[in-house]
Amino acid sequence: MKINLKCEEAKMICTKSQYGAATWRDKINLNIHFVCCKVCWRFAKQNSKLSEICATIKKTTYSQSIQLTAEDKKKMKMNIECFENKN
Amino acid sequence: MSKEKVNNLSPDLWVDKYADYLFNFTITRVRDVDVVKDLIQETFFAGLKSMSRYEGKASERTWLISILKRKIVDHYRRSNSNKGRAEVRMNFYSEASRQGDWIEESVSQTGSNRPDAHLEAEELGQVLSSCIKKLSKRHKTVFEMKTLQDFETDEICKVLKINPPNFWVILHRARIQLRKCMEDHGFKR
Repeated sequence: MKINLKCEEAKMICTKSQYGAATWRDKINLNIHFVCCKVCWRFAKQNSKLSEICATIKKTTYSQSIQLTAEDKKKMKMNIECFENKN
Repeated sequence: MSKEKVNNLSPDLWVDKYADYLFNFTITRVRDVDVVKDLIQETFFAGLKSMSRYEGKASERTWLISILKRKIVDHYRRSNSNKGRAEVRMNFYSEASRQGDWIEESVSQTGSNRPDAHLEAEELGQVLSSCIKKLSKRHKTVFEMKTLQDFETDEICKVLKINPPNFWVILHRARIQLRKCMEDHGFKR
């Protein structure tokens, strides 16, 4: 088992773990790395904060009521009729 | 008796019955309202074309969704093709009048006088959205598909024709750029 992670590797594992894609071995290595590398530790904190913000974006954007207008629907209906008549 | 169709198609009612549902389904995956409208229209056309192949096993809605899903994947595949990549990436401000962009983003981001935590989160969200817009097209597509639209890694790799290690590198770089961009906007913690 490799113990000495390079910072680049550690950061990559941080990203993966944000998506639940890091293995437990990766995570253990990462935590060992954190003990001696505060830079990566800080990076990890910011990285998870970034994920949090993403989650809020997802919520606000997708709960926004963007809807099809009546006009859009009318147009679609007309297009469908045209299409049916052509065939 | 078993040959008889359980479900029947009635294209005249499609728009009334399913347009909103299909729209909501698509808007979470493709964030451009105009593109969404086109995709739905294409779905209806494709549905009409292949009506004869509808076996009546699934409900009308499920059937339309399955067509729509393919259309969405096609859309991403197309935007990842050479032709798609050659498209000029427009400046955010020149697009401000377009539908589907949010008014809040045109407001300057000063980021001081907001003590409320909820507002702060919202504001951070806005900063992040504008940062995402600044990413290169490839980074942006990968990041949005994975983070905001919850696509599976395999799926994204297949659609964008990249291998998983490559995917993670792109995603990682996108995140690093976003972090840098957030820091430039005064996000430090």
